[in-house]
Amino acid sequence: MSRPNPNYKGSAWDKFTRWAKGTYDPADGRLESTPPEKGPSPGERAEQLLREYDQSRFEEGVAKEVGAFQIVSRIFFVLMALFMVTVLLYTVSFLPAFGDPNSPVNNEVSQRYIEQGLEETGAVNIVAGMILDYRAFDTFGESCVLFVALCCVTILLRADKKEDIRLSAREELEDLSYEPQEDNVLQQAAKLLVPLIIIFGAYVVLNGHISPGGGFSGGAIIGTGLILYLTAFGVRRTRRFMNERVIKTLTVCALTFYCFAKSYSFYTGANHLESIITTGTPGAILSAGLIVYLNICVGIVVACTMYSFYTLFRRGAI
Amino acid sequence: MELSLIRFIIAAVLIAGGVVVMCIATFGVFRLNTAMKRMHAAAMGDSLGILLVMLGLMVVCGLSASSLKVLAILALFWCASPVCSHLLAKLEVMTNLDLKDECEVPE
Repeated sequence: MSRPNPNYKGSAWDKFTRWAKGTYDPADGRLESTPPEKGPSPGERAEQLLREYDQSRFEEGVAKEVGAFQIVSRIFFVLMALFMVTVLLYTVSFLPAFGDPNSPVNNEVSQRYIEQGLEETGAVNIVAGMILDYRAFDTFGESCVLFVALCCVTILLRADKKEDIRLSAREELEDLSYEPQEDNVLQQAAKLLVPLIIIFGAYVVLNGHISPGGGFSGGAIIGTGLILYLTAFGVRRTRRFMNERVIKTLTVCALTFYCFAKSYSFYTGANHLESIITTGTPGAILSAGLIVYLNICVGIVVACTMYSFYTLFRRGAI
Repeated sequence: MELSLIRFIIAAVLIAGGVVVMCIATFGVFRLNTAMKRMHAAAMGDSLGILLVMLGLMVVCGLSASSLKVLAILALFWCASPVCSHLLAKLEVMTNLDLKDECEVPE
């Protein structure tokens, strides 16, 4: 019966038996070289090297060919810009001097507008007489451009109808959470300002033939008032009087009236509907024949377009 | 001294003061580091600067319809600008998470 050796642990025999079992390595920790890390397999390594080589070749090629192209293109751009500058400056040198009475701009057309515009159209504001009487079809085209723009924005930005009602309701709630919710300060200010803004806009529209202003500027002012009301009081209250149907009806009716009135006027030899609406006394609010009504039409179209753009961009529905 | 000269001097001083206030406001907007401080600087130009410039213009115009129009512009600005500042500040408080580091926030 042998008793266990107290110095057995760490002795040479113990090390030998453990080495034989494979749990001890005498070189462990004494060698400078470290075992290789687990890396990519030789195949992967080869692929990576190949990729790096390709990359470097590609960059070399880019530096060689695209670099040369870049230099050439830059020179070309500068030459192009210089060419355009020269052409434009050369053209400018042929323009008449500013305020030259003999310039072709001062021809009989503008002379007639200035001298007989008041008499023929009844509008004190010659600009209104020009854009809504002499060149009314041009303004009709502009109003139609606004209408087409409104249609395009509606097609592009309208939010799709969700099949799931709960999903759409949640989306709307998330949209609303970023708006000023029942903000008392804003509401009081809007109560004071919105009527003033809309009355001022109506004044600008209706006075378009007497003073500077007209359908475009007045309509923009009215649209701003509506946007302020929408911001202050929320979508639900504004939707009662400015919803998609109202805007559609107003815009289409205004454009149709404009089209028929002016077409009839031109068809009858541009006599300004003499039998129905006279030019009246210049300076009165109901004068200048059709211009007042056309101004109202343009104002309606512009106000509706501005308001709809705002609502469409904000939440994808009118 | 002639009356028109006195009027001109008063108007010039008022308008110059307004322009100085506007310049300080613009400087502050570009110089200050947080949104709240920038709003504080900008509000000065919107209220005091506008007031001084418009008062100067009213002195130039005298008692006339133009003066009334200038007064209307002033009233509009004083109605609109504080509300805008209020909404901006509200949005900043809602969205800025580091607000407590930037300024004092009452609990």
